[in-house]
Amino acid sequence: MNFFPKTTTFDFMGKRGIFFIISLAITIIGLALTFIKGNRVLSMDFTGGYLTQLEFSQEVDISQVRGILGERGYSDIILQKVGETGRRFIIKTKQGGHEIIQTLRENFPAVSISVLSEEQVSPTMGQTIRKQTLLACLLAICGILIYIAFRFEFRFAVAATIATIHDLLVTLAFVVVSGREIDSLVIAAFLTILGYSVNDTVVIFDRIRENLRGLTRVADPVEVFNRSLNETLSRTMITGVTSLFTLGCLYFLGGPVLNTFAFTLIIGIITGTYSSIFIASAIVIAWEKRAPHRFRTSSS
Amino acid sequence: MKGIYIRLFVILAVIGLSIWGFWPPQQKIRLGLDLRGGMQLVLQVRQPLVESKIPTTELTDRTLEVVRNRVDSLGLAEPVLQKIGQDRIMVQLPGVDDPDRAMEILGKTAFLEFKMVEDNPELLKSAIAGTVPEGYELLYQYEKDAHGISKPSVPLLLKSQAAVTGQDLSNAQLGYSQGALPVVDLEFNSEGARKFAEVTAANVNKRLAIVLDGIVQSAPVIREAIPSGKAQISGRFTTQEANDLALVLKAGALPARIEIIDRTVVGPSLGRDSINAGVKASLLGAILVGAFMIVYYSAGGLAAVFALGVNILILMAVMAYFRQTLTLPGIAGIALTIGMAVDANVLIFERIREELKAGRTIGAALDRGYDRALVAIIDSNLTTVIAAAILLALGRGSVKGFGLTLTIGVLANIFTAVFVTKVLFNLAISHFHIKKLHIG
Repeated sequence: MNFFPKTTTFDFMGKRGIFFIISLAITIIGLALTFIKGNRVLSMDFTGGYLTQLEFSQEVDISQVRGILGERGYSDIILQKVGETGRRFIIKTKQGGHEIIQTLRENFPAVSISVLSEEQVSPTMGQTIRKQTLLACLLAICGILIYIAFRFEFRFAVAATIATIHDLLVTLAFVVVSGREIDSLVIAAFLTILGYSVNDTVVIFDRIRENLRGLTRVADPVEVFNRSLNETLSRTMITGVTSLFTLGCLYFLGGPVLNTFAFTLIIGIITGTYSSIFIASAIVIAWEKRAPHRFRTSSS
Repeated sequence: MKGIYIRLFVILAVIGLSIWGFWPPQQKIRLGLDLRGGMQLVLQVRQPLVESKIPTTELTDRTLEVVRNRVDSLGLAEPVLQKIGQDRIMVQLPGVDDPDRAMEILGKTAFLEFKMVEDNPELLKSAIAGTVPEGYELLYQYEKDAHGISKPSVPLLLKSQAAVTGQDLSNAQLGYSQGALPVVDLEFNSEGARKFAEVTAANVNKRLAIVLDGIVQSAPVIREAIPSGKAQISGRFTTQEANDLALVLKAGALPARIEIIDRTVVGPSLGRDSINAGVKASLLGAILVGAFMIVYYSAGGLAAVFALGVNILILMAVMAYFRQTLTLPGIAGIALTIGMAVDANVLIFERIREELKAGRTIGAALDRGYDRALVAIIDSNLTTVIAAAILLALGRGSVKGFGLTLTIGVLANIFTAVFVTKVLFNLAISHFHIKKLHIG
């Protein structure tokens, strides 16, 4: 089977101005909304919250409890079984748990529910860990920058880094606009996007590098870039689509806890694919138009 | 193609070794708290014996950080630590093998001091009788009796003012004395080294006691000034005890005493139901991707799916060998690995198709396709490994778990996507005299 029997001839680089504006707009809206919402975009992993311990008079199914709470809009909770009896639960919530207990009592009329304790708890991702995570990510991005500068060119490295940061910001925008909260799973999703985005960009840069290599003089960089992007288009689409298969399954069937995780990754994969072409490659071209230089044409 | 059987043998050996490495998976693969649950401890923070003016909440915060360091040093991935109310800490530990040892490590105050010994026998005698001179204190060295219970045995009169404390340590690790007994090797920071050098220079031939949590560990005689900032705690340690003590010293002293007031088993923090749903959805996703690869690239897709399987096998074996814990962020790392493995195969096959389109023979298209795709695969995979390794080295908690599986997975991918599938293709061509390559 082959969806791409002929090599396409799209002019990807021609309309780069429009895509820069769209990306910039989404990024700015996302950042603005994030600042306006402030701590409300963070889950209790970051803000802390309330821990309630409940004991049911008989054994209940954890998915039933979650289902009932999910219907009432309490999807952002941590529900954990305690002990071996199957009757005790820990519920962690951002706000106090009184309403939740009320809801549960209404839905389990035959079961008596006793509250063992209700207390305020600190965030699991406190200030120190947050700082260390951010530092690790920044250094990881620096490592990527140095490697690409070494294997390709400095301009390509800068473009790839901007594209990666762009993907993270655009994904953040979608997460915030959709009213979802950032928890520690979403952080894992962001890291995955970072990896995917860089991988996708490097693959496309590799073809550009290869097509530049045969030339003694780069008369028309736009043509070389467009040709490279068209040649790799079939791979770009197939890899993107296969990734979306898995994430689609997780999004629709993975249950409420993993839903935001899958959502974040889907947005990230789409953005990561888009940005390799319309941000990373386009930045190198835009840079070339402003300040022409000699592309590295010999092998490295 | 010469040497094809050697290559095939290498692949089979890797598969065999990997399966042996993590079989049976229920025992060898350790799951994190988010996936399996573990033990929950509630710690009560109490003011230290020495009067301190730190407010309780701040004391709890500081204690929490030290406990976190200690939990991290136990090598447990994804512990959950939370302050409850003002003065309690909830710790959830994934798959702890030995809860008593965990409690021992978490609860130890680990306040290390070096104090000069006053060897005047008269003063010591009157101190034992009850009149301890101003500026001195009476402490004991402990010894285990016939039943293995530690009892105070040797009294020592020490200067109350510590010469150096554990706060000036820069490192502590397990070592062995000349008699091959386990000891803890200490290294001071520059401030500690300066103090230590001063004290040892001024007190040659006197004794310096090493005191841990108010118990004298040993009281060696200072033979000469020690300017190197290095010291050693010898006691009657087992290797495990010396190792744990080094861990605890490195993680820092607890600013407060803690007491375990509750201990119970907890279910996975994600909830059993979410995990089941997640596993089902992921399996379906994997089947869909595999089916797509086989339909789209026929025999090539089959080879790719096989290579993917080998990749996962290697990843699991490495995780099992280094006794690492698998967490949900770790699974996200595996998902990205799978994505990149599929991508590597797509790169290769699309490239071979291009070469075939350009009119090359099967063998030539295969060789050229692999050669050219190789550069792209290595560059993209190495870039990812660099990022993943940094996350593994510097990240904490979920970030670390993610970096771990991604680093292993992508390194395995360079082997499986490039080497394994090519051997399969070459084997097919040389053995079955295939004229048409079934990747299109």
